[in-house]
Amino acid sequence: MRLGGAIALLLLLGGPRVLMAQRRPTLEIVPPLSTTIGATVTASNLFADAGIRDLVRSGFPASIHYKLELWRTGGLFDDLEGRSEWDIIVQYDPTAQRYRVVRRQSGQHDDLGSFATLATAQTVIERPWLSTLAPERGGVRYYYTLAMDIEALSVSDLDQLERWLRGAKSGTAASAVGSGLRTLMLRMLGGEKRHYSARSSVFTAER
Amino acid sequence: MSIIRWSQRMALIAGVLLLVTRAMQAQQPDSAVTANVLPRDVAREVVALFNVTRGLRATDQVEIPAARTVTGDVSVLNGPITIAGHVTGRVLAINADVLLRRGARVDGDILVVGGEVEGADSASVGGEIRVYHPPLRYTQVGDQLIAQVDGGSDDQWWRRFERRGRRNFNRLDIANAGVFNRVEGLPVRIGPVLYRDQGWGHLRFGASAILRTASSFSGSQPDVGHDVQGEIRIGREYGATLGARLFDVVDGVEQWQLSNLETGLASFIFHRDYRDYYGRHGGQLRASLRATDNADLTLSYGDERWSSRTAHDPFTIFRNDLPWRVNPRVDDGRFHVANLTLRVDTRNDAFNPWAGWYLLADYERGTGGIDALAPTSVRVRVTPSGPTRYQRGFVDLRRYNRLGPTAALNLRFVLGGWLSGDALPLERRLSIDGPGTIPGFDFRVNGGTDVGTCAQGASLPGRPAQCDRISLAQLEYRSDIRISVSDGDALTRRNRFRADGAWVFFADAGRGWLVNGPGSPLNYGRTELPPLSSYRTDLGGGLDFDQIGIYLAKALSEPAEPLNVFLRVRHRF
Repeated sequence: MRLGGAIALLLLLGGPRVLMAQRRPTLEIVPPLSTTIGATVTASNLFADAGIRDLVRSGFPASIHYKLELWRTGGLFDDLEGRSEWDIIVQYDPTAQRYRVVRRQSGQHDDLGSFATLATAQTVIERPWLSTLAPERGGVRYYYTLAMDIEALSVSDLDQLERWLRGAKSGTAASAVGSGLRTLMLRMLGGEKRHYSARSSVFTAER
Repeated sequence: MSIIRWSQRMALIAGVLLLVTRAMQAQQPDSAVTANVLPRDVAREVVALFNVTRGLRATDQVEIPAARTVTGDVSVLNGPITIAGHVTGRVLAINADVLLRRGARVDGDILVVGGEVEGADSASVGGEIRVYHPPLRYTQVGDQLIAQVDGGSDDQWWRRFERRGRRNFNRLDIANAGVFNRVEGLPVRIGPVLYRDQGWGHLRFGASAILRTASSFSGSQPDVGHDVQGEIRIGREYGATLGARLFDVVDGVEQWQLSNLETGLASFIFHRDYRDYYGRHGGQLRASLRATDNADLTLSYGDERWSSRTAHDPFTIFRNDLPWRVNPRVDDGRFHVANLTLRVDTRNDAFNPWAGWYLLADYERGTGGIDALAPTSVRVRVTPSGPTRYQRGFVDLRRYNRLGPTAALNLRFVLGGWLSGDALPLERRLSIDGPGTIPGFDFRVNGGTDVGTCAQGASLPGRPAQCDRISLAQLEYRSDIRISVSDGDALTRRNRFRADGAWVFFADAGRGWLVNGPGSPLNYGRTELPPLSSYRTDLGGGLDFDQIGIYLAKALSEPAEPLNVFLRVRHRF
């Protein structure tokens, strides 16, 4: 791929990034002080991306997948000591006019409730979460990494076709073409999924 | 004109199918009814809050008049509670409504279970308002509440939600059937798919016609393929899969260098097709053993007819007026192909790996007859057409190592090629050429004696891969980078742009060679390896922003090669 085309493609894909950059989800990991507890994970501005927010408000379920990894610093290479994954699913129930939220981890589900507004649901989702992924050894240097994927799950071609038939998309023809091209490229490169990551500071856990 | 009519027909069919599908779905009774049960977390939370309330706690209706200020929290069981005054803490209403009079003030949260909040618009609430309609089921011991929670029922909404991916379906699939390429354009698969979840596994059957935008609509000789597949999968995490397939498809000669996505994008956007293609028509049986999603062993056997395909002129976004590279001829004939493939993946993340192994090992045994040999460079092989029997191996081994919180060192080795028997047919030959291998060298432009494609002398149309064997080593050092552009002074600073990614340094070395081409300078003994000094090498670096990376690469072993700029989607390997 040559330079001109490369720049064009980067600009095409970079457009949404620039917009998102103004207010984007942030992740924070507070490491534990001892080996008895895990890190505290906090996510904020989860629905800062207008695309995901609109989809959730339109009734498309959103999945927020968290992957927390605990790394132990080693000699030459660092070792992955453990991993913890969980999901939060948010869906708007139009009959009840409420946003339902559930947390899923290791086959267990916790219904976090239903809420009248997405903002309230977001407040509940964004509460600090104490993970059970704790360091095994005291006196050893560790750090956590956290990856979060937000995905609007039901954006299938059929759904999009339905939305289009309903006239849910507004805007000019040019903006529709631009939006369509960007959506096409994003979907080819990873779908309606937004990926964010964070890393904690290096810490030493006490027994 | 016929395309327009066809597209109109397809739109009509799609519309009708959509309506029929929706109508059928509407007629299917949804047996799952959402339970009107308070979430366990919430039940425990409200009981804990009620039990520790130190401000005002009541088990009957409560009214806080306008002149009154309650210091601390207010908890009411079986209320309602009417507030016109000021509560400095939280308001908790269990199985009770909360009525806020105009001017009422609550500094903390309002949490309501089994009730409703009225008048929030005309009152001042400092915290959040949470309302759960299902009532709390509880027992009372002294002044303490104990929540009665059960394990939840199977008809919760998220369980239905989770079953969506596995539920049975019969549907018409319209999807791409491969990468956009210069032979087919975009191959589109249209046909029914049946899926049945049996609990112990699943059954899946699909039958598709394959329409090719570059050739299926030509008036003289419509080119329509097919792909009929059946699969029985036993077990979910561990288990076995049995499958059968009948097909008439176009497939890539070498698919290991670039991903399908990258190949398709490069073709569609930049008019550069990094693969060669051939036709496959026949049937295949396969059986797999699976241990989680990370390891499987597959045995397959196919009876196929392989044939050459010519390039067409599909539309591309850039450089659409340029001619395509010729799709090289391959050996036409009928082959019986048995493959044993092992895949082991211990990476911590498939898309952004920081640690672990990835191994793909394939052994292939082919027999058959070649009807028409494709031309090759001089002394590449000495094989008459007719019966042939070969064995071939291919190993792609990767190791990902985290050096620290922000850095990683990744390695990849690829070895492949002829093991024994007759010379490999052109469909099974390999190359080390292009951005997926040693990007410091241009793709398919080297003349003379080329260790990338094993060509020598005059170039063949399309410059096919002709090597009997290849080896490739790739080394990559990655380190996190954050690019941030902001404006404003220290107080009003605002991010205009931010991108998280990694900068990457890499080095590659590799080449291909012959073992069945006596007399060729590219030929080595069957137990020999070419000297390291003959390998192509390059160095490079770039920025990788997860979804896409931009890189520079410079050839070391041939300094006259110009600097190359290239894009990769996701990581290089």
